[in-house]
Amino acid sequence: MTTLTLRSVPNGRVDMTGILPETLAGRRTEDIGKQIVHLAGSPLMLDDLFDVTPDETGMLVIRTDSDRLDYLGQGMRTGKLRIDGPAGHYAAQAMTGGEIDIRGDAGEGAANGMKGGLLRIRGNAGDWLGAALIGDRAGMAGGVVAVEGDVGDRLGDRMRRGLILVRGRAGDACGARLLAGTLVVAGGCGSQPGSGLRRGSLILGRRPESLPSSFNDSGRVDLSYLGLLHRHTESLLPGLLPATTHAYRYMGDLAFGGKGEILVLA
Amino acid sequence: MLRLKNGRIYDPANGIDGEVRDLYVEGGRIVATPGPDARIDREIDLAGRVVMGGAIDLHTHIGGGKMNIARALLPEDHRADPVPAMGGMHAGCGHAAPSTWTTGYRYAEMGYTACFEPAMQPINARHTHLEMGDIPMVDKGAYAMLGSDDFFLRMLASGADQRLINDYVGWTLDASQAMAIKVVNPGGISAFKFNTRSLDIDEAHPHYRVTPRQVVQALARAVHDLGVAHPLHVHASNLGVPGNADTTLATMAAAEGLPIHLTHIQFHSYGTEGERKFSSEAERIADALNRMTNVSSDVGQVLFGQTVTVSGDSMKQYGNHRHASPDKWVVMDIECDSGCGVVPFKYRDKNFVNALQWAIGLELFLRVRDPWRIFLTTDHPNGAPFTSYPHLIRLLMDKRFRNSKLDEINAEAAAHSQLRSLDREYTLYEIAIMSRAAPARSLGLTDRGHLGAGAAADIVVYRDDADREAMFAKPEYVFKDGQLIVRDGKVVNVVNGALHAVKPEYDKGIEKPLKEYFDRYMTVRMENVRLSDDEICTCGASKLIPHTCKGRKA
Repeated sequence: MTTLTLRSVPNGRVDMTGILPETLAGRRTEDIGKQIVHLAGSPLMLDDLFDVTPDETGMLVIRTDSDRLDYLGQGMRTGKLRIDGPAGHYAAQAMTGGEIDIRGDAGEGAANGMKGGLLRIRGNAGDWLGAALIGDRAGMAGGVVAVEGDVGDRLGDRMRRGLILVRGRAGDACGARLLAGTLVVAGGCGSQPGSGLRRGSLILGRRPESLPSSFNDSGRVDLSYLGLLHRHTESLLPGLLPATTHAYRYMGDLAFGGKGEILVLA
Repeated sequence: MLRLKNGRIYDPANGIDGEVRDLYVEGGRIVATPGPDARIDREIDLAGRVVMGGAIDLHTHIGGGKMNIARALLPEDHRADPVPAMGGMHAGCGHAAPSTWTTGYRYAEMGYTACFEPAMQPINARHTHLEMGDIPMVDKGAYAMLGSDDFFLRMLASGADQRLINDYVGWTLDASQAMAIKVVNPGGISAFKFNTRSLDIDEAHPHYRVTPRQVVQALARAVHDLGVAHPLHVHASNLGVPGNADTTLATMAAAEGLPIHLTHIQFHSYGTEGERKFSSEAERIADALNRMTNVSSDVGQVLFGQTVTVSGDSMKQYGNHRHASPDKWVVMDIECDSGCGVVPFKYRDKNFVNALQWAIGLELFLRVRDPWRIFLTTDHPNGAPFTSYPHLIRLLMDKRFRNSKLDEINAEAAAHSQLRSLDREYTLYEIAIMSRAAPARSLGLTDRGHLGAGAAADIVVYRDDADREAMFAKPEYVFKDGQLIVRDGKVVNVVNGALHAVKPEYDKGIEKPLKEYFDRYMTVRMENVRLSDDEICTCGASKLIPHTCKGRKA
């Protein structure tokens, strides 16, 4: 479709809202270049910052060496978007469909309020991945997020549905206030995992140093759904989960109804 | 000197109905036609254009704590309507509960030059003035809310002399830098705190044993005695309750001939007929308004779409909370003063009740014959955001358009309403009355809302367009105090409005019992509640415009 190549590091944050495969599809190169984006709150045209190159693929590619491009793929409904380089903050916010492939790190607040589609992050992600949009009461409500690297604090905060897979390590309070959905962190996590968890499953590949005291040790269990999950995740992040159906189960958060669980696979 | 020549002038306060005349502006004021050797610095030819004074909204919730609560409650309202910064204007956002700056810009872009916040809690006056100070472009003012506050109800219950009540009302106006007095669900907000869910006009308050009728009478009398221009602004009991038309009529009668303003009267004109026990009483209410010349009202028109209802009427807002859409709401207590309720709401044209509410509002507009006593409001944001005024004007001025909309609404509601039989179409002159001259007169703004010599040069120029919605949405020029602020519906010059406040005379001796009361019961000291004249400008208003009151003997 089109490749946008960032010419130089912009002197402020760039709001990339509206630069989506679905809005650029079928438009002429000059026309795409005139699309308005905002640099530090002021409007300017896309070709003030980017070289616009048309191509025959069905994909929108954004090449960037700077992590100042915010709101990449915000509200995306369909199509394919690839970021060659780091994404700024709020990538894939409120995304409802399509595929985004970030070939670098992502900033804070990625996949906030996401409702559908697939987001891949090849590098690390910042805080509040898959959490709620600012001011909202529920976080990610559908779709899949797959992260190769580490993620920051508050991963999946108040997440309501969907699947988040992390190969690396998560920061503090991952799965905090989780309402439902499945969160898999293979590489260990910081303090207070699952704090305030209501329902849903937080699946940890390594035993955390400590669990909140309001979780109840329910022993080692055999859950056949772990086999299904293993099969499912192999297509997204191969080797993320061991091929086992056994896990240590901790029910909680008992201070919030205790209908959720933390499963430790190790 | 600026000369605006050949414009077609609609200036009802001076009886000018569409005459082609020249206007002269100097030093921010409209001046009489000067002699032949006067220096004209700038001339704009307005041939074929419609010229009116700046519009005045006398009932719009633009400040006070409740709008901030609505903003905090509705992040989606802000996300869906972002406004980037440009041309000296702040960035902002919001549709139903816009940010302060966006509120000012959007009002000016529609030709409004003054807006009045009708529900300032005296205890919250400082916040209200700070918030209004952040609203650019337009002049502002606020009405102080009384009638459910403990101090007043105690006075009334103990049979205090009317002169003492007058002093308390005068002190409240003065201390909170208010323009008028409003009463919301008289005594009812307080009754809600005593676990009551409704309080009719002659029902005794469960604790103080006074009735809403007594509250309305005492306050209407106080406002009249103090000589405040705007009559007591009444949000009557039983808002939104089917069958409340009887209460509304009783409230009108309760004024016993004293001036009274009944606000958002659409929400108070409901009957209980029909299968669904919900019907229009617009005809009965309009007849009463036509008959009782001491009563004025604004409509509070409902228009379809997402909005948020904000009110001091915590009793009725609590009753409405199960209709909240999206499903979240806030009802809170404002210490001894009153209450507050914020309930997001979506008016749907296919919903029987909402569609009938829409029709009732329009029926009231069309049935009340005197445009000097019925004002154009949607009770922003309760019936609809203020940005829908141009649409409302078209509904009033264009019968075919109105009937085409009537065909779209819930068929049962359309059949119940007599709207289709009403042929009236408002004229530009009548629109100029209800949105300019009448509110200015009602508020006692002698130099606003008209285009006579000496008036402030708040002038709006429209292109004459058969599509009145397009015409009123985008004025060609808007002048505020002689400065061009809007060109073709876009702000070109950011200015700051003044604050209007009344300065009644009262006996300062009321401060003695008041101070004791504040020390004993309130969280703030009496001295700290009062806003000085100087503080108004540090709050953000360009200046304070005081209005002296000629007191009448009690």
